[in-house]
This record gives sequence, structure tokens and C-alpha cells, in this order.
Amino acid sequence: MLKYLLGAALLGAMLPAPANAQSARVQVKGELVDTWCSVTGIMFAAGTAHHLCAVWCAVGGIPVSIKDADGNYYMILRIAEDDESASNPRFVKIMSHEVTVDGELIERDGTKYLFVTQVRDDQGVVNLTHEDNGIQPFGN
Amino acid sequence: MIARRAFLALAAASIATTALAQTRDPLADRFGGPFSLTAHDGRRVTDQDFRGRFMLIYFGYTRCPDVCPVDLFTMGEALKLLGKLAEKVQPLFITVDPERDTPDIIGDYAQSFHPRLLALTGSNAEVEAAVRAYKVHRVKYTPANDPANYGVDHSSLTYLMGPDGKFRTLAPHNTTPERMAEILRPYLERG
Repeated sequence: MLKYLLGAALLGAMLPAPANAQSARVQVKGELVDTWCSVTGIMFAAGTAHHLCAVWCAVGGIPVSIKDADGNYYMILRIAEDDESASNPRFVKIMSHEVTVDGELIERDGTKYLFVTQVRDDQGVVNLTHEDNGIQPFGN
Repeated sequence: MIARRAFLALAAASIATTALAQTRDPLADRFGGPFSLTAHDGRRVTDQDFRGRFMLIYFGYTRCPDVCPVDLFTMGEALKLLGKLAEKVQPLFITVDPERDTPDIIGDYAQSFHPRLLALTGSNAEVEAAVRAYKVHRVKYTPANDPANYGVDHSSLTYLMGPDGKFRTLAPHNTTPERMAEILRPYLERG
């Protein structure tokens, strides 16, 4: 009997993985960044030096992500109950802030998508990079 | 005999579980929906006209100074990289600026990126319905000293919708053509 059960378990493991992974509840901590500058590394894309640029990008429709301490990007597709836009204007007020959020994580084609249910903590802008890098995109 | 039945039952349950997991895509209903617009060749089209084919959709406008040309170039190059598989895809460019993007203007613009890119426009209400269905950010800003030369902030995601019209995946701005082709390929091969 045991070998049949093991056989069934093995068969289950060998079946193709679901094309679309399921969602998971997560808590994520990191800096709110625009993915254009942050992924490409332009405009000193972190902290106070990049705050103005990050706001412009978010307003302009560039996807907003949380970049955690390990360098992972969590692209935000919704915040709270807003179902109007995948690029929510609420981000503009907290771009470059270090936040901790609760949300639903869905991974698709190598990208981590996050549906934020609440911003649990907001430390403001803690990464003070402007003294070394100026205020981007204008410089010092 | 009992053990054999148990094995078959477990195997069936395992297959059913896998199939169920595949049908419960948590993103499937979050983006997309009906639209009714005018194509650059003057035809009236709806989302239903594209059933049976994948739709690769980008929202933008012809006077966009930066993001749109980059993303539409990426889309066009990715389709070239996909070769014959790209024939399963109808690329669509939906304007977020219907006031200025008339059919003749958007047609020339779209086809400079890919010969099969179908550009769609409509009344402001028709475009707004599509924008809402795809949860696109669209905000018009008007310079005080030059009101005619307004801009439109807009989302920069490229959506892949399946032959059933349901959402499959996204390609964010800054995706390279090679990466976009890599993302699209498995969906097109399966579908």
C-alpha cells in the first residue's frame, strides 16, 4: 500500500506546475521607488537625492515598487481599496519613504506583483543621499 | 485491488487539484473588460472582435515625449523576435488622448512601430471605459502658458490578454524586447 501511496505522491509532484502561481499574504519593508530609475540605476535612484524624480516618475505612470533590503522589487498594482488605477496617485505622497506594508503577493513571469492592503508603517525618507548626489535630475 | 483503487483515486485527485490551481488565476479578473472603439482604418471594433487571438495592449498617445515611443518600439521588436508565433497576437495601441489622436494620426504613428499594430481611438467616454477596464492611470495636465500643448500622464504597462479575453500577464516599462519575447513565448506556445 505504501508504495502505491508514494507512487501517487510522486505522480502529483511530476505533473506540470500550475501556469499561474497562487497569491500569498506577505509583509514587505523597503523604500518606495520608481522602477524606471531604480532598475536602470540612473539618477542616483535612492533616497532624498532621487525623491523629486521618483515623484515625477510615479505621477507620469512609471510603475512603483518597494525595494527591500535584499534588492528585491515588489511592483505595486493596487493600494488599499482603490480599484481605479494600477498606478495609484496615493504613492506620490510617500515616494522614497521607507514603508512596511501588508499585502497580497502574486509572482508572474519572474516579477513580484503586490496588492497592498495597508501601509502598516511609514518612516518617511530615511536614505539621505542628497549631500553626496545632489537633487536629481538637476544636480546640486 | 483496494490499494490499486486508492492509487487511482489519489492520482485523479492530484490531477484535479492541478487543474483547479490552473483555473484559479488570481490576476485573471483584475485587468481587462469590454471596449468599443474606432480603429485607425475607420472600422468600429470591440474586444469581442479579437476573441481567439491574443491581444497585446498598450495605452499611450502620439505626442508622448518619452515613454510611449520606447514601449511601442519594444513591443514591435518583441513581435519580430517571436517570428511565426507573433501571428497569434493582435497588437493594439489605445490612445489616452482621443481629443488629438484622430484615426489618421494614430494610424501613421502606430504603423511606424509595427505594420500590424492596430491603433484605436474613440470618444472620450469610449476611451475612458477602456481605461477604467484596464485600470490605467490617465491624468491630463495643461501648462498655464500654453494650454493647447497639454500632456497626458499615463500608465506604462503592456498587457497580454488571452484568446478568451482574460488577462494573462504584464510587461512593465523598461522591459527589453528580448525579455518581452521571453515572457510572451510560453503563453503563445500554450495558447
